[in-house]
Amino acid sequence: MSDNLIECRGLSKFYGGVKALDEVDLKVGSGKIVGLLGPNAAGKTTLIKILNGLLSPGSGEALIDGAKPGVYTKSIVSYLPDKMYFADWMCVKDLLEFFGDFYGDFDMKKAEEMCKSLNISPKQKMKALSKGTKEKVQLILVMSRAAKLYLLDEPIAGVDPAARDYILDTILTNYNEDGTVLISTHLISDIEKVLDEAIFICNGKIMRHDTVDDIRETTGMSVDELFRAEFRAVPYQGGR
Amino acid sequence: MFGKLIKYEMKSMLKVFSIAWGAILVVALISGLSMTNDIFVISANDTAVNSMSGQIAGMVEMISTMLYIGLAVALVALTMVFVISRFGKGLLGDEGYLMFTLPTTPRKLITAKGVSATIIMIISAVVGALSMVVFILPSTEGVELKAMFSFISEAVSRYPQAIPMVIEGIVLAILAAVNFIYHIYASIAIGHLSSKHRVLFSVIAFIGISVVFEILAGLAVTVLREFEWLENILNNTVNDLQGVTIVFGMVCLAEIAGIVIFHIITEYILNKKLNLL
Repeated sequence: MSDNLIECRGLSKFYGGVKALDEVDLKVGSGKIVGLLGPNAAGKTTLIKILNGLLSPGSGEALIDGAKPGVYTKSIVSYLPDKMYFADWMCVKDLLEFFGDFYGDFDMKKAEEMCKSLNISPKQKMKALSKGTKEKVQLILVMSRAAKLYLLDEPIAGVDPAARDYILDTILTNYNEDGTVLISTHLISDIEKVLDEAIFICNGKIMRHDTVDDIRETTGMSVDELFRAEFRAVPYQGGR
Repeated sequence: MFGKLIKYEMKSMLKVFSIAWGAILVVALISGLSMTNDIFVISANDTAVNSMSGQIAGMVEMISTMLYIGLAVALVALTMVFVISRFGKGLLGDEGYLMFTLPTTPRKLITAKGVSATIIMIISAVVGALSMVVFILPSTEGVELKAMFSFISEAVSRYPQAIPMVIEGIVLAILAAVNFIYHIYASIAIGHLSSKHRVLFSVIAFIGISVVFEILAGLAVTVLREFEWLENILNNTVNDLQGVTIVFGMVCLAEIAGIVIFHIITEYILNKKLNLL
């Protein structure tokens, strides 16, 4: 439908009394793994929520595959929020069937196998699972869809290092390669190795949008080092 | 898509409600049976009141009747709690992250909730009525029930307009229930506009809307009384049924108008002002 999978033009959003997004212009193509990197309250979640239709744009425009957020874009976007979103009454099987029912691109067999490999029984109640297991189940559901755009909001925050590796490997091996994965995080050193492109966002503004290779060549720094340099806050009394 | 939304909504409620419905029918039966003297042996020489078994029978009857009434009240409360929480938590809580990213519209999400809540309310009402019959039946051994049926069939043959009137009454009751459900939805949606005190604002909105509609209803009645056209219409009707039907039609329109207004408010807020925390 369009050359760019994500296109934002002059996108602004007032949110909670603050300008969460400030004239964001952005173009992201297909077939890439992109990091949306920024400190806390940078506007990462706000941007993701506008792209998946959970927030309406304040002013400006956000287009996914050439369409405004709506029924079509929701059918091609697979979203992993940074919280648990399943209903209390559901067991794992109920949630798998739910996804199978509502999303035509959901691969039930793959999801079942991934749950099995984690020793998760389909009859277990979702709310009885440990926090880490719940997050993995949600990730399995999201990555078992052959979506055009995966929006992952802080998928590795609050998770132990071994689980982080599992999550990143799952993302890499399961996403639709014609699609794009947009991962928002502030844990850059962990995900840098999987990224094709990096978007730096701060105070609602896009500070930089480059390929990871370009960043390393032009600045001589890794993405993590560049992030620390650009977003350094001066500690009280000068720090050490 | 809409059918699937209803399927999951019903699934989420049936687990709890089927237990509640089963419980109320069982307790109604036990209470009803305890009110008969058949299951307790009372000796021929003692009066029922003074004998030990008579006292026990009396206590069982009282406890089971209180339990039945308690369960009936609990069923009403459970229905209200579910209507509120399936919307407030199920759409505007964390579960909203799942529901609002489904490839469907807020209109379908709201309507699916409303339809499912109405179905559950209707079934609860039918189960409630059934439980009352079950409660009374053992004591009467079917005698009063038969008498009631013959009374009804005689009344209907003498006054055939009764059946349509009853049907109209049932339709009006269902519309009033749907109106109430949507009143709750609109109040929760208005409360959602606040970022900090959502429950408080929802309650205020609920009360505020009730007050506004009471005023509007009072105004409507006053206006209708002033204008004689309604009186003229009612005087010109051929029979009671027509008169009742005209009034019924007007009240139905008012209920439907309320439902539509509440839906519009709810849909607008969920479309344009959604802010899941």
